[in-house]
Amino acid sequence: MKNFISGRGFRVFAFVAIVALFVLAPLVSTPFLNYQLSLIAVFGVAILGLNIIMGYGGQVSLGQSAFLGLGAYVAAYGIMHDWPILVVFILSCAIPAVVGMLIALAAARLHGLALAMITIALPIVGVPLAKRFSEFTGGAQGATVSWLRAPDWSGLASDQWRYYVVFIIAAVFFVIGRNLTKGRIGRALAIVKTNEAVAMSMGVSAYRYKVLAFTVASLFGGAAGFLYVAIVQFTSPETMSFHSSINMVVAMVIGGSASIIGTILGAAYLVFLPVIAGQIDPTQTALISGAVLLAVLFLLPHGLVSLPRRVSQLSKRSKRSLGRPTEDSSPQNSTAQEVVDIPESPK
Amino acid sequence: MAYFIQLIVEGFATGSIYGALALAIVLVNRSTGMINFAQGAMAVLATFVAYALTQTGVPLILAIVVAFAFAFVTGALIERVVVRRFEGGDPDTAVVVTIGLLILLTGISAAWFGYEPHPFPSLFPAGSIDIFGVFISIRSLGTIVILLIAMLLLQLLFRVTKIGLAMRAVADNPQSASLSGLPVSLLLMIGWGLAAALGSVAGVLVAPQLFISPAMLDFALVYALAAAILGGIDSPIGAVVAAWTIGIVENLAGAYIDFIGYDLKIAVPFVMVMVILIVKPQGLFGRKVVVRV
Amino acid sequence: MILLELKDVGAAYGAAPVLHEISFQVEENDAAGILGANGAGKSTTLRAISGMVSTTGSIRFDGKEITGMRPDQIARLGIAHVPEGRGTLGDLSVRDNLRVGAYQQRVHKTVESDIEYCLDLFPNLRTRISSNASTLSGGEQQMLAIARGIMARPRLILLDEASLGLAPSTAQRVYEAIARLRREAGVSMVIVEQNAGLAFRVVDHAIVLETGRITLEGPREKLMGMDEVRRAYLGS
Repeated sequence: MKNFISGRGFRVFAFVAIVALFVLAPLVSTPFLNYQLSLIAVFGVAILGLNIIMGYGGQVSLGQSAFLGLGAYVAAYGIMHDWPILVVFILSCAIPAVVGMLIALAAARLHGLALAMITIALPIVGVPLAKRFSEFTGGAQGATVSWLRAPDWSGLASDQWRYYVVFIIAAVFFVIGRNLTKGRIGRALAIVKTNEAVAMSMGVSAYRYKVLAFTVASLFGGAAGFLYVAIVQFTSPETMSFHSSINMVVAMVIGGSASIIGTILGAAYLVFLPVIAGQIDPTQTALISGAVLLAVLFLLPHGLVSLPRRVSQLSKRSKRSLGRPTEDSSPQNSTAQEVVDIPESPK
Repeated sequence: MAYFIQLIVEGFATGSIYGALALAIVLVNRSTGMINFAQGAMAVLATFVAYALTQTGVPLILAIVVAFAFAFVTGALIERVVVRRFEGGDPDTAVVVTIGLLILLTGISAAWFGYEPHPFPSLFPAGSIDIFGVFISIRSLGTIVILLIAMLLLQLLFRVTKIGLAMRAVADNPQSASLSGLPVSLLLMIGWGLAAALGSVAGVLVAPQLFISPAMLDFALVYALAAAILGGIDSPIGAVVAAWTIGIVENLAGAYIDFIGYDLKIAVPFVMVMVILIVKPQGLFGRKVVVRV
Repeated sequence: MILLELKDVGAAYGAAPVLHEISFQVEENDAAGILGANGAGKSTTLRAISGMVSTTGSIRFDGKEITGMRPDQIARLGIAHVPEGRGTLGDLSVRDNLRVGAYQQRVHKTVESDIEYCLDLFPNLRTRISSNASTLSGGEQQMLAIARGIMARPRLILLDEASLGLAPSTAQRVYEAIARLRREAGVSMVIVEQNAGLAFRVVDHAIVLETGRITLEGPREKLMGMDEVRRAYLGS
């Protein structure tokens, strides 16, 4: 049985089954569920972008929501002015990408904390700017756009049509993201993440790759903004908020950073947790969310994606005879020999 | 002119609140190498404890002392029980742990008191004093003075006392410090406890003005982070100077530059921080980090 | 009188065992050496004693079982471990490093006179007393690390690879100071060294480790006379 599960055939089978599930789901589910699933695709793209700079690239970014919001505003503006949808899409990706690139060009030489602070500044500056420039953005009330209705020939309802459009676009981005991270760029980022000085000595310019990663992350963020407007049909300054950026970082780590599947799991967490917490007790959503988050981090510090690995680890340990000289009770610590009470020197 | 000086003094006062939180952030970072996003939420919870006590008739000063002690103990326990296992590990996970604490502690405050703001009694009498024609509120002066005292006490603690020396040693190299017999676990807890207590000071100082609510310090926290990083994350004095600068710039920009006005004035310090960091990456007071390969 | 006793001590890093059935004794006022090539498990033995690694078997200090105790608890019993890599507190000044070493001392005056003694033992440190420890050279940092251990007025000093990374003349000076310390203070020592020649200036007897096991042991005269030891270690 174990061989069957880890075998190649099973993986292909699982992949096909999941794809089929995603393709058929909207035909049988409620509009609300389709909406939720579509949001997973939207935030999946955004979190994938975040993963590229933060999970794979090792640079903390707390400003991803600013790019999502910017892309959403570009999309809303373009739709409202009846620009061709393809043009709107390209601009929703390109404008945030350019902004991200300019910021990275100026700031990528900074060390981690300073750059993180600059990413924090983006949503903080962005929200009041969005409120101020109300001719473009609709001000504090936001911009509503009604579009992407299902064409008659499809025989689908609008929520189903939007689901498919968004999923196809998201799938394309995931393929691009996967190829980027598995390829040369991904390897270079991994080296930069581990040790910038070593990267330099290998001819890998940390600066250049950080700018590249940041630009890609912003592009993905902008695309997610376009998809967001497609599903939600609305955007407002809240979309750019710092709070939203934090949620995406949390989702990334919970799902599993530096992992494509982890990104999807993280997006699912982001979308479904508030719903579930709201069901349990609407006045205590924060309390429940916080508790769940900490619980996941304690049990699965490498994210939900590490669940199968962790389960097999635990089952192996209980099978082994007890009384081994060193018990690794702190799964974080790769240096198993150190006595657990005392952390490594802060870097 | 008088208006200008008033704005500056008010800026010092709000800056002092950011500064107290920034000091707490620097303290936590020096002792355990983490950026604590929950610093504000911890302070708010302690302030709520003071609030609850005043509601039952306890005098304000006593309530504040209890809140201070509560913050110290809670901070120490949080370090030992929640944070300890993530120290020295992946920094992204550490950040998210503190965010989890932020959400949880905010949730506890909200479950206890709800989200609406409540009035909070002030330590200082209302009213202003007249200094050479400039009216400065007693509350602002008091806030600034308390922050200065806190800074002084911290300096004394670290430079002169044995326990301060021990905390510095543990911050530098916990394993090596333990080999000299230092009780590392206890000292790490004290670091967080002290930081939480500092935060509670910020909380009770600002609550009368902002009205206490679970999200009361959310904004101040972001400013405090900016101040801590701008000041060079390991420099307490840098953090406070940066915090004062942020407070003053925010006030002046909002008042004097028309196009900025009230809503955009929150953005000004961040633009300033961005520019300064790009020009001087280690912050105003930080040391240049030499990376040994 | 037996001060330190190891019986069948074993240790592992994760699943890989590093030490097997290590047994030896150190008496009061005694100095023992642990010799061997790289990776033989010498440093791990010291870490086992000071509690930095969890172990099987028994380690007794002054009659008391210390296996399973935390490093700071063991240090407070009177064992000073000068670790491999020196463990310098780089952000602190030299003086502050020494003050940390004296953390357990209650009386202020003895701390000051102890600092004087250390500066006498290691004159290089005197001019650098207010500098940040991270600005010291490798040799100076080694001297500082040993001095920090001395400040604790320990009954037993564990010295790990004191000559590592030092120029031969500097290493000589360090060992001369250690020898002097031994004569004047009578503190017991366990010295881990790859350079057996240096170690034998101070220690009376030694064990030789190879892949985590004791392969040779005995008094200095016996070991120095053995061909294997001469060839493998005295030459370096």
